[in-house]
Amino acid sequence: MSQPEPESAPRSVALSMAKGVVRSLPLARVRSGRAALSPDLVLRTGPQAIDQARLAAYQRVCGARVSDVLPPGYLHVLGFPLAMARMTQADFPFPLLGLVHVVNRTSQHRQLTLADRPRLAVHAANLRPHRSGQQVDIITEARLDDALVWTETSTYLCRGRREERRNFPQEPPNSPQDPPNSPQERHGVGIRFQVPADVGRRYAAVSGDRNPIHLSAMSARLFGFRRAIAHGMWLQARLLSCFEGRLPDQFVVECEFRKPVPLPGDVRLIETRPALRPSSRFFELQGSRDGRTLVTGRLEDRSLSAEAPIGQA
Amino acid sequence: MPTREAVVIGGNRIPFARANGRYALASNQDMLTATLDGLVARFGLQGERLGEVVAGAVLKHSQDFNLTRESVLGSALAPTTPAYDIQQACGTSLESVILVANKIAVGQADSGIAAGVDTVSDAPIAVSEGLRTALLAANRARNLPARLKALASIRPSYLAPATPSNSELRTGLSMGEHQAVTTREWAITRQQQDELAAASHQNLAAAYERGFFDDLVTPFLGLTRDNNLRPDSTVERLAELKPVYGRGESEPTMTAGNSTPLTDGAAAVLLGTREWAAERRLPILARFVDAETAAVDYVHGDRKADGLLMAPVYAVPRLLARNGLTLQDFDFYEIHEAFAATVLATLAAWQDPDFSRDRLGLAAPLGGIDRSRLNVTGSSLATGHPFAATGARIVATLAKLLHDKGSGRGLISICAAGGQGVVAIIEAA
Repeated sequence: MSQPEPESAPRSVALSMAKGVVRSLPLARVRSGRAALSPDLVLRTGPQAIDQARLAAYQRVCGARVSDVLPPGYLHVLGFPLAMARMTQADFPFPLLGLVHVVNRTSQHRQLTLADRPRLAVHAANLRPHRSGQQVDIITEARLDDALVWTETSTYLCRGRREERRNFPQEPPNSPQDPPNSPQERHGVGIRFQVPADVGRRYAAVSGDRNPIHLSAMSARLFGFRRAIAHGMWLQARLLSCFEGRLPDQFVVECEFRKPVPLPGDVRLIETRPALRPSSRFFELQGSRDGRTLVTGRLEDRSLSAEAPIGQA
Repeated sequence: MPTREAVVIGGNRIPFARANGRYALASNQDMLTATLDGLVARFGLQGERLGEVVAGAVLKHSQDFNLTRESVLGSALAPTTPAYDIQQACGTSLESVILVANKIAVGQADSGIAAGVDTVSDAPIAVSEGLRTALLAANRARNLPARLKALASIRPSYLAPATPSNSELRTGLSMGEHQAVTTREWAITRQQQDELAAASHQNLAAAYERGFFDDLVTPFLGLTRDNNLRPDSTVERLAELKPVYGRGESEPTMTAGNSTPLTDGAAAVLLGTREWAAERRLPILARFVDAETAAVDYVHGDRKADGLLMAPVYAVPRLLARNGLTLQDFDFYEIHEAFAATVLATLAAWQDPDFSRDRLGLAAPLGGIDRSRLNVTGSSLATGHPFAATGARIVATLAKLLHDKGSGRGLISICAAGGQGVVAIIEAA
C-alpha cells in the first residue's frame, strides 16, 4: 500500500476555483450544456491521512461531537478538491459558479475513523433536464483497500438562462425520494436550532467550498440571492448531528434542498416515520417562523436490512 | 436492611492528555460521550437502559449543567437511561462509584455507570465580576436612563475575562503551595518524592507494555497512551528539575516532575449486581465493599495535621474500623498521587504515634504498608490527573488488578480540593 497522502492542499482547490471563475464569465457560459459529459473520466486520490485538527474544526462547525468518528459529510470535504477539479474539466457542461446543490444522497457502508486512510474517486454522470434548467450528478466514492465504504451522489442544478432570476421551483420534478404515501407518524417534538450568520464563512473555511453564494450577502447578490445561503452539505451535517447516538453504522441519508436557507436562520427539524417501514425516518427542515419547507430528507438504517450497499461496484 | 453486592464489571477511559495538547479542541461532553461509547462497545450495551449514569466534571461550563444526561443522550445507551451530575473535586468519580454502588446495594438499581471527565484546555471563561454586575443591573433597569447608567459603570478593566484558577478560594493558595506547607511539616524529602514519581512512570510504562490497559483504555483523537508518561523517568533525571512550589522556603522540594500536570481526559466504570452481569454474560472483576469520606479544616487548622490534602488520612482509619480491618490487610493500595509528597505525607501520618493518638484517637498508629503494593500500575504522576476522571480510572484499574490476582483486597484513597478525602475498599469477586 502506498504512503497515505496528506489531505489535499488548498492550492488545488484555489486553482480549480480560479478556473471555475474564468469559465463562469458570461462569454464562457455560451457553451453551457452543449458538451458531451464523459462518465468514464474518474479522478482519484491515494490513501488520505485524516488531519485531526481539521476534522475537529469540521465537527465543531457542524454540531457533531469532536471524536474519532468521521461524520459522513467529512468524506465529502475530503473529496471536494476532486469534485472541483472534475467540475472544471473541459467536458463539464456548466459554469462552476452559481451551480446550486439540489439533492445529496450519502450511503455509509462502514463507519470510518480518524485512523482510516480512505481513497477517493470522483466522476460526473447523469446529465439531465430539470424544470429550472439542467442538472448533473457528481458521484464520490470512498474505499478502504478495495472495499467500498461510502458513496455520495451530489446533484447540482444549473439554472437555465430564462429562469436565472427565479427562485427554486416548488417541487423539483425528479426528486428521487419523496416520502411515500404510506401513513406517516410524526415522531418527536421537533428540534429547533439556529443557523448562524457566519456559518457560511466558517463552513467554507473547514470545507474549502468558498462558493460566493455562501460567504456574504454582497457576494450572494451577484448570483441572485438577497442574502448568503447555507451550504447544503453544512445543512446535511447539522441535521445528522440531531441524530447523535441514533445513527447506525450503515445508513443512507438523503437531503433534497428545496429552498435556500438564508443566513442567519431559525429552523426546526420535523421527523416522521412511515408506519410500515421502521428502518426509515423522514425529516423536514422548516423555517421556524414561516413554516416554509427548506429541506426534505430521509434517513434509512441499513444495518438491519439485508440489501447490498447501494452503488456496490 | 438487607443489602445486595455491587460488583465492578469493567471500566473504560480515554488516554489522558496533557493540557492544551491532543485534546485541546475536545469538550467535556465530547470526551465523556466517547468514554461512555467505548464502555458500551466493550460490554455490548448498545440500546440498553441502565439504572443510571452518574458523572461529573470539576471545570464545567454553565451550559453543561446536565453534562452527564446530555452525554448519555448522545451515546449508544438507551435514551431512557437516567443520569445526573455530581462534583466533589478530585474525588468526583470515586464518589460517583459510591453513589451507584449504594443504589445497587439497597436495591434501587441493578446497574449503572460511574464516570468523570475534565478538561483544562477547554476551560470555561467567564466575564469579570464587574462586567457581570453591570450587565445584571442593566437587565434589571426599568427604563433607558437607568440602563445606560448601569452600562456606564463598565470600566475597560472589566472586559478582561475571568479564567478559572486552581487556587483555594478561602486561602488564595494553589494546591501546590498548600502541599508545600504539608510537605515541609512532615519533613518529606526531595529524594523520597522523586523515587515515588519515577516508580509511578516505570510502573505505568510496564503495565502498558504487558497489555494491562488493553481492555481499560480506548484510543481517542490519535492518542493510544497517556501522553504524560515518561517510561525512561529516573530519580537522577527528576533530580535535575527546579522546584516550582514552596520556593520561599529554604529547601523547596516540589518540582514539575513530582507534581501532577494539568490534564484532559475521562474515565468510566460499569457496576451492577452479580445477576445483572450474569444475565448478560459479563465479567465480574471485583465487589465494592465500603467507602468513607472525611474533611479537614485546612483554612484555620493545624499546619501539619490539617493540610489541604490530608483528609484521606482521617477517612481511612474510620473505614478500617467499621470493616474490622488493619492497614496491612490489603494486597493493593491505590493512593492518588496529587503530588508525590501527598502520598508520602499520608503514609507518614499513619505511622506517627503522636498524630495517631492525638488526631486519630488511636492507641497505636495504623503502621506502614508494603510499598511494593502501592500504585503498582502507576498513578496520577504518570497518567496525569483530569480531576473528576481519576476516581473512575483507579477503580477500574484496581478491580482488574484484583481480578487478575484472583483474590485479595484493595484500598483507594483520593484527596480533593476543599480539604476533602474519599476512600473506598474493593475486593476480588
